[in-house]
Amino acid sequence: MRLDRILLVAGAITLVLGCGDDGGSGVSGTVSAWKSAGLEPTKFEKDDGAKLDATACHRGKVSGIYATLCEYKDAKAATAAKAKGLKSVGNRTGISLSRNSWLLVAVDRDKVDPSGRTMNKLATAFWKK
Amino acid sequence: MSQLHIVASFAIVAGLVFAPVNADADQHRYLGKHPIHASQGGKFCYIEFPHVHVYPPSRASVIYRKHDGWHQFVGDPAAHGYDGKKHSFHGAHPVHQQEVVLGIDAPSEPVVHWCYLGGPHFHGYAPSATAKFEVKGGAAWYIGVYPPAFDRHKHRHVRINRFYVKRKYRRPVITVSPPSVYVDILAGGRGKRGRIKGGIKIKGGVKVRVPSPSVDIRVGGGVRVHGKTKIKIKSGGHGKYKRKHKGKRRKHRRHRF
Repeated sequence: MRLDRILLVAGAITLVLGCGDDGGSGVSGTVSAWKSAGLEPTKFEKDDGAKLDATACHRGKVSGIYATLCEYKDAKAATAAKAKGLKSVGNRTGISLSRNSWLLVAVDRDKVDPSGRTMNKLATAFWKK
Repeated sequence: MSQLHIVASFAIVAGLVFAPVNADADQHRYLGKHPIHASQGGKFCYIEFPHVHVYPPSRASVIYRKHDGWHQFVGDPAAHGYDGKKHSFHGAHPVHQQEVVLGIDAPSEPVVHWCYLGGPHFHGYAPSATAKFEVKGGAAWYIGVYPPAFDRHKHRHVRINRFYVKRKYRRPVITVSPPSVYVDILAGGRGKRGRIKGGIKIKGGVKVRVPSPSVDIRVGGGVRVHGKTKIKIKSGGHGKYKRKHKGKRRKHRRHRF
């Protein structure tokens, strides 16, 4: 009886953490971290993850900078995708940064951040989250 | 011309014409903060992570180190309009890439660059926690060992001092004598030449109390000007320097007689 209850609670916790985009550690968690850092993220929409070999990607803007957050099966896959992310930056200022099983690709397409301070804040919040 | 040559020539031309245009052909890779190229406004980029720009680094061979296609700025940011947090250093010291650039993968072997700036200068990062520094007078003095690679690349990298001598900016003011174990290697430590080729003249109202003669600097003779103070350096001539000196003397005599 007691074992059943434990299993039930464990199952519920797994269900809660497993559902949703990330359980607070992925897209929603990163967006919250950006807000806490004083940045202004827009709503992040689902994007095609295949371009960056990801299981899923979300795209939006953070204080004028285009950002894509992608999830991978593990940290190794996210690290391996960094080169592709950097290539996708093209001829602009940008970063491709991995953290655990997540990849952030940020591009200053509209040249709103010539000093890179906003880009640095964005990357730091993602990195230290 | 054989048929094989003709086919090969066509293949090369077709390859050149139809080769896919690389989207990152104009990307220039940077590690951490760096000065912005004059053509782009010439200010400072504050991104502490690996990132790309469309512009190349300015004076790349002098104020940057290149590793695996990435450029890392190793100069004094204060000379380039940097207004972020600054840390004072005195003399040459190691720069541990992993500690000054955020978000890089842990390499199999740590990448260590060397800063060849003589005298007081700034960096946008704190002295390495894993290297032997002594903090005195608000500045970090490297008191650890210099590897043979430091001497090997010295001739090429000390040019950075000539670059900054020409720029007017505020360097850190250090008014204390160096730590007792400190050896100013660029000023002639380790039995090498007594001065950097081209000379370091530190300007801009810098008050540097020069190392007292108690610091054991054994170099190949002469007088070296450091700040506004003349230091007489003991002549411990031996090895390569001595041979060169003797050679010059002989040459001189030959001219006289």
